[in-house]
Amino acid sequence: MPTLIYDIMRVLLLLTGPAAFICLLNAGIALRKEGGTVFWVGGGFSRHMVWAVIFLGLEPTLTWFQSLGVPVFFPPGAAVGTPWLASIQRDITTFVSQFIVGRIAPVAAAYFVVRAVLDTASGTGPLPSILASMFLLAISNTHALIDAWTPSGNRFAIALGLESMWTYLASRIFPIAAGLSICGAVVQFAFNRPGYLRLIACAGGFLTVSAFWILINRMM
Amino acid sequence: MDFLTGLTNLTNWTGNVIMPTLAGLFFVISVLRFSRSAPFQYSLYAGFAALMVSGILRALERFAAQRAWNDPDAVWVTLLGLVNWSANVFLPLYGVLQIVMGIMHYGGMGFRIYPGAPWARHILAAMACFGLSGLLRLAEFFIAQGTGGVS
Repeated sequence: MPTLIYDIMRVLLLLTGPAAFICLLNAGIALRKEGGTVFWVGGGFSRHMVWAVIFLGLEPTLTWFQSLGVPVFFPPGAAVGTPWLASIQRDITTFVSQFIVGRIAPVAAAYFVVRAVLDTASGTGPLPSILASMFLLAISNTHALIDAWTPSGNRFAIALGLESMWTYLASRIFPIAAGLSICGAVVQFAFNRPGYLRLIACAGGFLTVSAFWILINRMM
Repeated sequence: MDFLTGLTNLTNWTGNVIMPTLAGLFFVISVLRFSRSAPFQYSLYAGFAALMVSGILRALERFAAQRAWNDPDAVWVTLLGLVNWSANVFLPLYGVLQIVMGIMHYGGMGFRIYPGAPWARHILAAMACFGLSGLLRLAEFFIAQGTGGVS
């Protein structure tokens, strides 16, 4: 196979990491658009998160085709031999890491903090914008987490990444969210608004979501 | 910076800093509503609840942790724990309060002297206005004592 083709393949595989960063930035913006505390099924947030996992788990997933008998030619070595292709790859990576992740994501997060104050002024809660802001500030760490969840030697890396994401959400994020839910219930109750019992039930649900999943499995 | 740390700090800050501060505001609203003979119980109870956010969460965690995380009965046992606590802990205490109120009414506080009478209401509201800090400290004292459980 010509060296140029191998180099193009190397560049495309090396650009999956920056592409995942772009997906996470879009996911953070979509999270606020879709509610902040919730997201639409099949909406922008879930779509961009899935694409982030796909990009980070792409290389090991290609080996899946090999197990089906379809030949997949991985370029030998990681270095891009063609200078202008290497330059393109380096420039795009630098642009994403220094401009998008280093500058644009914090600005977007700061915008959502302003939006949280404006949301409060308009009568809705600040929490959706605060959560979106936190998500945007944390995209580097989220990228590293997803990268660790998609093992390089496993052809089911994408599925493993999605499974790990669910486990992280159920076992780490939800128990913390239960505390916020209790605070929300108290505020709702203080102003005699409906919905405080729903928030208490939410807290209970957040704490037992894994058991609920196993219960649904046992029912089948 | 990761999302989990941010969310944890946000929850801690809201539950342990902001809500106890808001408790004072809820008591103020309660006194103001009481002085105008408006329903004040929501603000009063919310003031107590704002001081007990951690306790309420610990209670729910206790209900949920009675079974292992992968036990499908955990959902039912959590709900059962809440029902048991409501029926066997909360209602008996509420019953004691009802008995006290019944005795007070029987003694004539219901129709000769009662907080709904304008003069008594205003006097009580004035006392609450002058001593709100003390009332808040009293509520905090009751809640701090309550961490040991009902005995």
